[in-house]
Amino acid sequence: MSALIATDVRVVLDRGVVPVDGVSLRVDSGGWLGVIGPNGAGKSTLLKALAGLLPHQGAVTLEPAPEGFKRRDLARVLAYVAQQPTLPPDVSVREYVLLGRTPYLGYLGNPGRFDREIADGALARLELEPLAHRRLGTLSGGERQRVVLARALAQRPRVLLLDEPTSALDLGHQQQVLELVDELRLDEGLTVISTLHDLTAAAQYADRLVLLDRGRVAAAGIPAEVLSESRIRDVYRAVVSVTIDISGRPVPTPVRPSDRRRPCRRDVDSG
Amino acid sequence: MSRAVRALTAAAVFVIAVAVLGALVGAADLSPWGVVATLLDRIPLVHLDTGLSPLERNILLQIRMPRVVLALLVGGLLAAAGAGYQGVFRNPLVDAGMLGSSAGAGLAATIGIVFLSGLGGSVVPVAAFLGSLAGVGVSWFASAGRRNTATLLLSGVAVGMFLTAAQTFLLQRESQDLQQVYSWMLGSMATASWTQVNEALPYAAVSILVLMVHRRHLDVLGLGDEEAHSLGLNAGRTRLIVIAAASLAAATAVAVSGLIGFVGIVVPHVARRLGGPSYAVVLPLSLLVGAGFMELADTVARTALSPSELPIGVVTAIVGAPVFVGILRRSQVATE
Repeated sequence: MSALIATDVRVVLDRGVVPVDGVSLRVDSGGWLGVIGPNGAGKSTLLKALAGLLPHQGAVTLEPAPEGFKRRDLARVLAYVAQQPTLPPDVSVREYVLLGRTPYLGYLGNPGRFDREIADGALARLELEPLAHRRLGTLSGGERQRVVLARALAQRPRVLLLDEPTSALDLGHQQQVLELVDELRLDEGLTVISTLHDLTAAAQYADRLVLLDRGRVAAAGIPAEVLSESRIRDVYRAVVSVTIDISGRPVPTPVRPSDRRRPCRRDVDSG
Repeated sequence: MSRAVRALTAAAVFVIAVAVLGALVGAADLSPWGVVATLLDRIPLVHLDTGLSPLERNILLQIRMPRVVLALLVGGLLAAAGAGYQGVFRNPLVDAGMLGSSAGAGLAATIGIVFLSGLGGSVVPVAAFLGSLAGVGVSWFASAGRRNTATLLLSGVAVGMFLTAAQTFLLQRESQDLQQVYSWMLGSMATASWTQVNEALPYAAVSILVLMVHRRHLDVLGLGDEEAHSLGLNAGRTRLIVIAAASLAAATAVAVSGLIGFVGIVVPHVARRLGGPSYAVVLPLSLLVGAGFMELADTVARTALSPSELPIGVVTAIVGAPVFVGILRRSQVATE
C-alpha cells in the first residue's frame, strides 16, 4: 500500500518545450487516478516523470518511501507499463515475465527459485499459464497486454503506472483489461495511475481524474466533477452531452455539432 | 532451461573435438595415440608414456597447440563481441565492423606496415589493437549527446568509410606494401606462438568476463531503454560497458589474427537457433561455437591446399556462408 504525491512537477525538453508545467496531484493508497486530456496535453510525459523515467523539476514522493535512492529501489515499489511496450518476438512469455524480477537481482545475480515462483504466480494470476511457452511474437493484442501486466506484477509493486493500457484493444478486450486492473488493485492493494483517452472508461474505472490541458491541470476531482459538458468543450473543443448512468458515473457522449443547429431527423419526418 | 544446458554441453563437446582434430591434423605425421597421450600428459597428476620423439613433441606443443589455442581464443572473442554488440543495439546485423573497429584496425595496421616496419615485428598487432579501439572511440564521440543507438551505428559507418578511404589513399601511394597489407587483412594464424597467446590472454579474459557478467542485462536492454530504466537498470551505462568490453574483445582478436569477418555476425545467430533468444545463453554459447568454428576453419585453412595456406577469412566466409544460409532456411521452415 502506497500513496503517491507529486508537487509542482515540470518537465522541460530540448529547445525549451515544456510538456508538463507545474502539475501537483495526490493519489491515495489503493486509489485509481485517471489522467485524461486531449492529444499533446502531456499525459504520457507526466506519467514518465512520475515513474522517474524523465528528468523533471518538482517532487514526486511515495508514502511510505522506497528503501533506498537507487533506481532499483524505486523499481521494487513502482512498476511502469509503456503505451507500446517492446516485446522481443522470440522470447517466451515465461522468460519475459521473469524479467520483472530484475529489480530484485544483484548485479551478478541470476533469478532463483523464489523469483520463478513469483513470476509463475503472476502468470497464474492473469490466467496466462497456457501461454507460458508461447513466443511473444505470436500473441494477440489482448494477450500481449495481459503478459505485460504480468511482468509488472512480477515486480511486486505497490504503485502501477499504466500508459494507455487499452489503446490497441477492441471494446471487449478494453473492458477485460480494465476489469483485471481493478481486480488487481483491490486484491493486491495496488495504487493505480493510468492515462486513458476514453472518457467513459476513465469515469467508470478511476475513482479520481486529473484533466490536463497544455501541460497544466485544468480540473481534478471525482469523475462527476471533472467531466462536465462545458469543461470538455473548453479543453477538447468537442461537443458532448453528459448523462449520468445508473451507478452515478458520468457518460460523455459525442454529439455532432451540426445536429445542434438543425432540427433532428425525427422532427423532420414527423413534420 | 534444459534446452540451454543441452546446447552448451553440445558446444563444449564440439570445441574439445575440433581442438583434438586440430592437434591431430598437419604436415608432420604424428601418431594419433601419441598426440592424445601427450595432451592428456599435460593435465596435472596424469602421467602417460606418449611414444612421441622430442621433435614430434615439439611440433605438437610448440607449433600446433599454440595455433589451436589462438584460433579458439580469436573465434570466441569475435563471436562473443558480436553477440554483445547485437544485444546492445537490439539489431542482429551489427558487429565490430559497423562501429569503425575493422576500419580503424585496417588503417592503423597499414600505417604500421608502411611507415613503422623498422620498429620490429610487434608493431602491426599493437597498431591494429589501438586502431580498432580508436575507430570505435571516434564513432562513439562522433555521436555523443545522442542517446539513440541508430545515430551511433550511422556515425560508426561514416567513420568506417572515412578510415577506409584514408587507408586506400595510403595504399595507393605505397603500393609496394599492398601484398603484405592485403594478407594481413584477410587474417591468418600462421605465425601463432605461445607468446601471442600470452599477450592476448589478459585482454581476452577481461573482455569476456565483463561480457558474461552483463549477459542478463542485455535481455533487459532488449525491452528498450525506457522499460529497462523502469526495471531499475541504467541503460546508458550498461550500453557503454558492453560496447567497451566487446570492442576490447574485437581489438584483441584483430591484433593477433588480422581481419576475420563473418564470425561476429553469424555465430550469435547460430547460438540463438541452438539455445534460444536469451543472452544469458547466447553469450556463452557464442563464445563456444565461435571458438570451435574458428578452429575448424583454421584446420581447413592450413590443410586444404597444403603445404600452402588459405587465408582464414576466406575460409570462414566460404564455409560459413552456405552453412548459415542452410540454417536460416531450415529454421524458417520449422517456424512456419
